[in-house]
Amino acid sequence: MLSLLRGSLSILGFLALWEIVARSGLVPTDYFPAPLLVGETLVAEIGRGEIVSAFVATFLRALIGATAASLLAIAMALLAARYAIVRRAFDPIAEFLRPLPPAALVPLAIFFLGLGWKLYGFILVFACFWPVYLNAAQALAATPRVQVETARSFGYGDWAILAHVRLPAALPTIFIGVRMAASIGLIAAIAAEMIAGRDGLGFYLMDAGLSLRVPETFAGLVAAMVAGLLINALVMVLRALTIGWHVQLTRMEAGA
Amino acid sequence: MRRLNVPAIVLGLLLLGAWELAARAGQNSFFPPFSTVLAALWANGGVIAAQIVDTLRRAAIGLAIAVAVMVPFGALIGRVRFLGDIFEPLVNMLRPIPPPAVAPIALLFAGTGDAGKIAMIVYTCAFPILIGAIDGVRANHPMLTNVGRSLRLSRLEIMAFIDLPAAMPIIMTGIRLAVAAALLVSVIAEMLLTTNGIGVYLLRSQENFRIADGLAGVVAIAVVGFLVNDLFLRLDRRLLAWHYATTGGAEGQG
Repeated sequence: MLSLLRGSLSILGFLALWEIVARSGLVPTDYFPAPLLVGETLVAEIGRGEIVSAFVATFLRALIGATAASLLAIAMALLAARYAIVRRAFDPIAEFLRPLPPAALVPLAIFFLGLGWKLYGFILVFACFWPVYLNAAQALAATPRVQVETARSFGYGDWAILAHVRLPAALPTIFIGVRMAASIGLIAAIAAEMIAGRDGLGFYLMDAGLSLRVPETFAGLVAAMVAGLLINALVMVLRALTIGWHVQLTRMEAGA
Repeated sequence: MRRLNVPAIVLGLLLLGAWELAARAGQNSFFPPFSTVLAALWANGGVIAAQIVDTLRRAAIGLAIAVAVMVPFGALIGRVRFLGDIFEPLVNMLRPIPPPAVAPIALLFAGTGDAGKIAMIVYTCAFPILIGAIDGVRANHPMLTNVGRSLRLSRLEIMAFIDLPAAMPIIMTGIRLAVAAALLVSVIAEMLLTTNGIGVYLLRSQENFRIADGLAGVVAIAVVGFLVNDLFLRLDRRLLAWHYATTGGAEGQG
C-alpha cells in the first residue's frame, strides 16, 4: 500500500515536471505537448472513436497471435521432449530462425499473404513462437530425474509422465516465455501495422506522427502503453489461475 | 566438442528441398525456388553486406550506449533506496510501451538520420538491461556487502567491485535480450525512417518486385542474426566462466 502511494507520487512528480518544462517554453511546445494537453487530446480522440477501434484491432491481433503461437510452441516442445530426435533436428533450425527480426519478413510476406489477417497471423506467430518454444523445451528437459522415476515406478507411461509430471513442473518457466511472447506480439503487431497496415495503433501512430499531429501522436503512445499493461496483466492473471501453487510457493512479485 | 547433428541436417535439407520443388512446380514468379534465392544472394552479396553493416553499426552503437548508461544506473537504483523509490515506478510505467510506438516521436525529435534510429535502439535496449541490473544487484547475497564493509570499502567501491561483478550473470541475460531487440528495432527503424540499411533494401526489393533478391536479404539477415547471437553466447560463457563453473551449464532462455 505504502509502495503504491510512493509509486503514484513519483509518477505524479514526473508528470508535473513535464508539464512545467512544456509550459516554460524551454522546448518548442509544438513538439513537446504538456501532459494535460495530451490527456485532453486522448479524451477527445476516444470520443471520435478512431483511437478506440485502432486499440481494439491491435490488441486483438497481439492477443490472438500470441495465444496461437504459445499453443503451437508448447505442442512442439512436448513433441521435442517426448522424442529426442525431434529436438535434435529442430533446435538448430530454431537457433537459426529465432534471431530473424519479424519486421524483415513483412515486405516479402505481403506477396504471399496479402495485406489482411493472414499477414498478421504469420508475422505474429513467427515472432511469438520462439520465446515460448525455447523456454518450454528447456524446462521440459530439466524435470528432476527423481520425479520422473517416481512416476514411472507408479506405472505411468511416457505420455502420462509428460502430461502429469513434466508439463506441470515446466509451467512456471513456460509462463516466462508466454509473457515475453505477449509483449513481443504487441511489438510485432504495431510494427507490421506501421510498415504495411491500414488500421490499428501502429497505423494511427505513423499517420499522426507523419502529419505532425503531435498531441495525437502522444495520445497514441499512451494507448500503446495501456495495451502493453493490459496484455501483461492478462498473462499474469492466467498464470495465477493455472499455477497459483507456484506463485504462492515462490512469492514472486508481479513485476519481477 | 562438436559432432555432426545428422537429424538437423536431414530436416534442413528436406525443408529446403520441399521449398525448391514446390516453387519449381508452381512456376509462380512471386515464389522463387531456393536455388534462385541463392543465386540472388551471390549476385547481390556486396550490396546486402554493405546494407547489413549499416544496420549492425547502428544496433551496436545503440546497444553500447544503453549498456554504458543503464548498467550503472540500474545498480544505483537497485542499491540506493531513495533512487529506487523515485525511478522504479517510472521504469514500470514506461516499460510496457512497445518500442516501435516511439518511432514517430524519435522522428520528431531526432529526424530520419542515424540519431533518430539510434535513439529508438537505445530506448528499446534500455529496459531489459536496466531491469537486469536492478534485479541482479538486489539478488546479491547480503554477506558480500558485509565482507566489503569489513574490508573498509566505501559505498562506491562496494558497488563497483562487489555488486556489479556479482550481478553480472543476471545483467548478461538482460544484455542478451537487448541484443536481439537491438537488431529487431534497427530493422524496423530503417523501414519507418528510410535512408539505408537492410530494412530499406528489403522494402526496395518489395517495391520493385525483386522477390528473389529480397529473400536473399532475409537469408543474409538470418545468418548474421545467428552469428551475432552466437557471439554473445560465447562472450557470456567466457566472461561468466566462474559462474557456470559453480552452477553447471549455460542453458539459457531466449
